[in-house]
Amino acid sequence: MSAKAGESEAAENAPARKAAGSASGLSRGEVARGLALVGLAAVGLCAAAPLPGVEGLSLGAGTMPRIYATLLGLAGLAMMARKRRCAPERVSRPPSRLTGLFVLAVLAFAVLVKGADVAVAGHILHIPRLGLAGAVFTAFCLAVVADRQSSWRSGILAGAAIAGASVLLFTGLLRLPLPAWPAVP
Amino acid sequence: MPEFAAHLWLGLTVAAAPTNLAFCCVGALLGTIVGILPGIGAVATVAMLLPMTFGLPPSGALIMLAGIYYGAQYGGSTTAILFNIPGEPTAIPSALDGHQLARRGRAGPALFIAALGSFVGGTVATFLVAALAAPLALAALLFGPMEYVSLMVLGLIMAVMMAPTPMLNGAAAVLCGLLLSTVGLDLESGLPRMTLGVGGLETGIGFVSLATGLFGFAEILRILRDRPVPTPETGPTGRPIPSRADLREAAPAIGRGTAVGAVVGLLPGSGALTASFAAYALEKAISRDPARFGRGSPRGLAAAESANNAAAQTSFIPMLSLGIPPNAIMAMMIGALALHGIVPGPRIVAEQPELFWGLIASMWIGNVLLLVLNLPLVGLWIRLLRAPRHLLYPAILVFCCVGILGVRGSALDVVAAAAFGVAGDWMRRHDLPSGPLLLAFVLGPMLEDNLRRAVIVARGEIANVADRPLSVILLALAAGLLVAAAFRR
Repeated sequence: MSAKAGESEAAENAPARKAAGSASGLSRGEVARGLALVGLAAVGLCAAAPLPGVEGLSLGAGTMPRIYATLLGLAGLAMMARKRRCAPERVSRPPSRLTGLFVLAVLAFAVLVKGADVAVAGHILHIPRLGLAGAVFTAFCLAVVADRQSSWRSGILAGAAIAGASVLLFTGLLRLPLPAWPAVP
Repeated sequence: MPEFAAHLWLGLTVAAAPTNLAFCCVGALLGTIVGILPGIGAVATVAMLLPMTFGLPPSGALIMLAGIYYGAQYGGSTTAILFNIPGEPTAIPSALDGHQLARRGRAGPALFIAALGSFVGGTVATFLVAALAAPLALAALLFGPMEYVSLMVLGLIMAVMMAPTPMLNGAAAVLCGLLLSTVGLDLESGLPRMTLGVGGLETGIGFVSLATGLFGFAEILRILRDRPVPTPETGPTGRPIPSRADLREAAPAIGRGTAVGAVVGLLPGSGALTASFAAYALEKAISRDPARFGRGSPRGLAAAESANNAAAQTSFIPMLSLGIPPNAIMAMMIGALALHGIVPGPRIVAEQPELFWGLIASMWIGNVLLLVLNLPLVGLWIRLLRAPRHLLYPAILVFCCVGILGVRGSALDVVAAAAFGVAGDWMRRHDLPSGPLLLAFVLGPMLEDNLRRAVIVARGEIANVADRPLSVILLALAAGLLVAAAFRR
């Protein structure tokens, strides 16, 4: 419902919408939004295709997903149609470097904390376990580098402090069942 | 009345237990710390700190989450008054007058009035929750599956209507949430569905991954991208105690703000934001000198603060009594309860009285703690705001990652949160609201489960809904809202 996050989005998006009023022509952002929703609906319909539908008094596992996906697809199409008639809005593009490093930081944490075997082009890549300390340090440094204002030096120093604090807090105090240190080969 | 008092006493004994008091205190402090960071609102704060509560007993976890919620609200107001940076949108009306007072060297009285307004609003609303929740829970026992379906449909339609985006966008977000909620085991057959063959999705999409990704990670991405302005200087905070004239002016406004907030918080789709703006507007409308508003009027500040805190409390009523979350924060509370194996709804009052009344009493204790803790700690909050943000937000990011991993121990959950973070950022830029999506994700399984039961009860004849007057009223209300919205356009 009108979650406050949603409400804050309104405030943040307002300038974008205002700016849109002056633009003309078909908005790529609008088409992208509609297409993304239609695409998600298509994936949903494909995933629901093998599921059973209504049988007797049973709704079946596939009925609701199919209903939701169909309505979502229609909403996506309606958005594209609607925006062809109205003024388009300008949608800002995030810097891909920032998003890329952000995602990389989270992925690095996910695979490094316990280690993983990842299949790459038919080969199995063994990623060693760095434990909580190593994973936190790596993820933190990558996230810091995402911001161009930061320096490696401050990132490394702060990263070491944060990694130490994480080990103390999460494995020491809260006793989360996570490896604290890198695996010894 | 004695029963009401006995229940409250039970709640106080639970909430005042040293461990629960500590959870409440830690929650309020953590919530304030994260809540004062510009750009991070209450939803994002709760999402980020949610994983920290999983190792706790259910009552402790819920008490801590509630503390985080009030703390975040309070933190937002502090930065609004001192720096004209509302930590979250609910604090915008507080910034209008509170910051003007601060610029005149009267930040202390402004913070005091805000704290007093929040405390009174929160206290009155807490008693309202205690008085209304139990009778409502009894009434909710009359609800059958069809009534629940109708209520959820109404709630989702209100979510669409109240979203700050075009209705179609809100509807698309709700449908995305419903579709995502179908991933995992089918409730009826027990078979995995909608997993696209991805191992690990059989257990469904993790609520924490979705909430932290959509709100927490997306916020961090936005903040890192937008480069927030440096924290401005503020004047001296001055003596914290307001003058008699200030208090005389603020007192009636606190009363009116509390009343507005308590009522608005009860409505589905509403929230503290609507309440604070409505109370501010009301105060301005009935003022003999409306020109003073926005120039440092204690009335405007007091009304907005008391209303947003009262609404924050009363929004617990539909969540606790009906099991239906009225907004994204309450959806998170439901998610947290579900992770502890507790199903919120009418039975929670009878089956988990310690948890229910303990939470209600902790609301009041949380408000007292905020009053006691936050005023002396203002200097510390100011210093925290000056911490280097390029180090602060990455630190929050890694703590969130550890928290998500700690819930189920699954690295896939962390990867999913990253994906939802990028998706949440994309949604924000494309004017698709995340709040209704999360709400629909929580309501989805309940909706499907109740619809299945309703079909069985009605022997497949869904038209038999006409025999259920309450259901008809709720559905008619939903249809009426849709028609009204169509005409309004």
